[in-house]
Amino acid sequence: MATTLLTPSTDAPPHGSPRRIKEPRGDRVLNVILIVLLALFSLTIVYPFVYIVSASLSDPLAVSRGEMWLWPVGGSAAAYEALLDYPEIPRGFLNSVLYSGTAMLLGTAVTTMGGYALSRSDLVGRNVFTLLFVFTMMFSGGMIPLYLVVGQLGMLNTPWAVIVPTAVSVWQLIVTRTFFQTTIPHELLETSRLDGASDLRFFGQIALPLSKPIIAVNLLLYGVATWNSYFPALIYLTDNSLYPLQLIMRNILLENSFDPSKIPGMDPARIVEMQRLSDQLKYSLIIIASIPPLVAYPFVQKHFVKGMMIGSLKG
Amino acid sequence: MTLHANRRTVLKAGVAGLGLAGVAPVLAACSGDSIPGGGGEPAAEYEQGSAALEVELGPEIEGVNYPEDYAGPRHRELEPFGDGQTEFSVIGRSIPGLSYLENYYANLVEEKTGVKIAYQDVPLGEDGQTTVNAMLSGGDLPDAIMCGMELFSPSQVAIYGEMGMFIPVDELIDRLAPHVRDMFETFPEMRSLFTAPDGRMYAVPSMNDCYHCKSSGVRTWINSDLVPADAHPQTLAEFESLMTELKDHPDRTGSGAVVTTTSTTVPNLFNFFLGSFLPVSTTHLLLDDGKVVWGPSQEGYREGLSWIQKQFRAGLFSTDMFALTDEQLKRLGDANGGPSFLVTHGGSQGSFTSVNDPSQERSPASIMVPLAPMEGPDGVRTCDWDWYQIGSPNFVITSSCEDPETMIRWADHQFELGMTVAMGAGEQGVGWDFADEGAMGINGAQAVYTRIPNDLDNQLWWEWGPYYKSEDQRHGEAVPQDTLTIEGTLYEAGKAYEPYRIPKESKLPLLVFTTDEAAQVGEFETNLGQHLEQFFAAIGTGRADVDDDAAWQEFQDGFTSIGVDTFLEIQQTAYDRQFG
Repeated sequence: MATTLLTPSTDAPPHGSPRRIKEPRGDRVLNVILIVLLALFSLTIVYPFVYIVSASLSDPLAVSRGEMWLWPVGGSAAAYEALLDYPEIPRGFLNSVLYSGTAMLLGTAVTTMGGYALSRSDLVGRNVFTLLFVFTMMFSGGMIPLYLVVGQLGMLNTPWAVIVPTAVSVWQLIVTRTFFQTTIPHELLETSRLDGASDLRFFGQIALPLSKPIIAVNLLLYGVATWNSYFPALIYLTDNSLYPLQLIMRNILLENSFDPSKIPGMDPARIVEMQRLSDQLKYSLIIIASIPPLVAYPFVQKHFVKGMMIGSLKG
Repeated sequence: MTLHANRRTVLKAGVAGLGLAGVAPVLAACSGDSIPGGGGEPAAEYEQGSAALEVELGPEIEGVNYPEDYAGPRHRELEPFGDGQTEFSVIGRSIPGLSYLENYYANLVEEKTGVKIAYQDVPLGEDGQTTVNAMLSGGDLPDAIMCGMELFSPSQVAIYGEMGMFIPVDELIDRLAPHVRDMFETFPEMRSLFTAPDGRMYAVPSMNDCYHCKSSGVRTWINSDLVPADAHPQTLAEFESLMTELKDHPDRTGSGAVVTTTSTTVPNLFNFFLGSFLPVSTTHLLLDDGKVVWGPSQEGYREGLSWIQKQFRAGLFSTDMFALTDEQLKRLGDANGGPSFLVTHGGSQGSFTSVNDPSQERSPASIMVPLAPMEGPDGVRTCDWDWYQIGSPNFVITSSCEDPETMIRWADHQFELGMTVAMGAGEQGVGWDFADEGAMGINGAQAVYTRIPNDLDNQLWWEWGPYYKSEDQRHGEAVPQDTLTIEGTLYEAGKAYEPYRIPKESKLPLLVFTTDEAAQVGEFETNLGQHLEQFFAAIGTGRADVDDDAAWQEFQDGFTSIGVDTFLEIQQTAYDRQFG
């Protein structure tokens, strides 16, 4: 989007052509303002990230002193080496990959099928189903009932507890439904029917291939949501070999925030020990945890814009 | 995404409500079948200490050098008693680098007790509380919970206990836990501090009589680069003139704040100085002849605040302190050339520096030294002293446990000296060993054991379980020169404050409340604390004037309208019930 806004002249004839229409003065001023604003805006996003990358490669003391503000000071990879001293970190990383991978596939499969079904006007009870889904967006049973359900399904302390309860996001389901409604015309279905295609065949061979953008969007959103989540793991898992990276990271980072004056019997020497660990690892951990989403985004981004835009139209 | 967000907010709100105040309603909402044994039958009457001991203490092992008058755990033979088959599930905490399966101490406990444990780990801090509250509310109870390090307050233990989720342990201890009983006999307060309002005890208390922790709430540090040890101010007047003189001293690092601290520790810093006007306490509650009183309404408090206000106006106290974060304070502390402030608050050196190594000469941890309480204009010189901070409720047995006797003995074995030391220092001969005769402990007396500087990966765990660390036990540790520990410097800090500590009769212990009381107390504490801190900020930034009678009256009326009288009544009732 930004590109089209910023360089309206790309569609114009090549440079030097006599018939080139000059940009009106107002447009040029606007462009400059927009470029500056967007540049500042990007800076607020890029700078913290660069800061963390540099901090993770710097001497922790220089960071604490405030000497490091852009490029690494006293560069060393010690923080990354230290990550490997804690077996739970690589293990947590692998767990996270497993959970997000599964949640991504499962969630996308269910959402695409559900979204398609809801998009069909000939579905019996369509409004009732939609209403039921939307209801869950506004009301939630709360933590304890959810915990009881997960417990009675026998999922406590299994990877499923992290994957299944949040498998479908109603918001994404509705976006997907709208996508099908707007991009797959009813006429297409009628034509296929005339050719003898069953519903299943139409969905598998016609609708799905036309829906790559929305599939990509769902994959990405589910993947990222599960990658970033720690709460289900915190509540449902009590075996730290199953912990995802985010929970391990949280444990390490939060240990920095103990308030010694409020913890009776907790001696300051212990707190110092926690702080050392946290100071050493916090930046490198953040980097490690951001790599997978960073790698995934560029591949999905082009679909992302397209899929989201179409899906967000009113059905 | 909206769904996720919604659900998360709801969950968070639910979790926040699960603090002290929220325990009862949440549990009540799912009482009945879902909580095994949670019928809420009141525990039978039992007079603590009345049952006869059925298990004898093992014989003492010779060759340990105890200092004179040593009171604490002793090294004894331990006989395994478990069948090695039945598996008990016990909640422990998880910290980076700890894996219970291979953990040295976990295996040592299994070897010494013969009891097989399947540990379930929950994170430290508030996250752990969330997880455990979900388990308890969901009726999914393990056999026992190691609930030290802030998992439950004594009141929460009592509430869960009176609901029938935790079983009373007092009689079990008296019958089967000779080590714990021995501790109760040596330190009777370990019983009274952890007894529930119904007269029963629902958690095995672990002792952690930390000498330096008793003054950590008011511990204040001064920059020794500019103030040598022999020039420490003895009175507030001396302090004032010294700070004024040093404010623009050429040798100072930077020209920043003279006296500063973080926004969350402003009351701590204020309390340190207020101690020169009247006895104060971190909880703002004190005992006056057996009567609970509200500190900020006592005579002398206004005068003290007036003095503090004067320091802000003179620019000696920095108004930045009301907004400073922990990291910003560390940045000031770690400044090139030494800390840029002259005086700051900190439970330990880790509060203001990330180079927390007192063995380095130029580390901020050795530049900043403890500043002792000073004498006020009327000759008052006191400091808060947490007399009752000697332990915490650390081990509960739930109503799902089919063999509580084994569990209590499992906890009891860890009260033996060798076990308690191994919990924090790993294997004997690797992380620690018994000290030779003549070795000196932290307090200068004969050391009981000595630390060995070694890599102790996955050898130990922290203080969440059962253990017995009396003051003598803690001080009986000899610290080799080259280890990175701040215990020694903190001991010195404690020494500097001890002569001025408030008398024990003035200190209100941490009380155990009933469900109804706990719900009210939590709210009062928050509101009163907020009102107080807002006033602190107002006088610091010049928005209010302590010396103005109307402003002072308004400040005092604020406490009344929040309900300080009801608050004091509840505290008094609880105090009389527990210690009356």
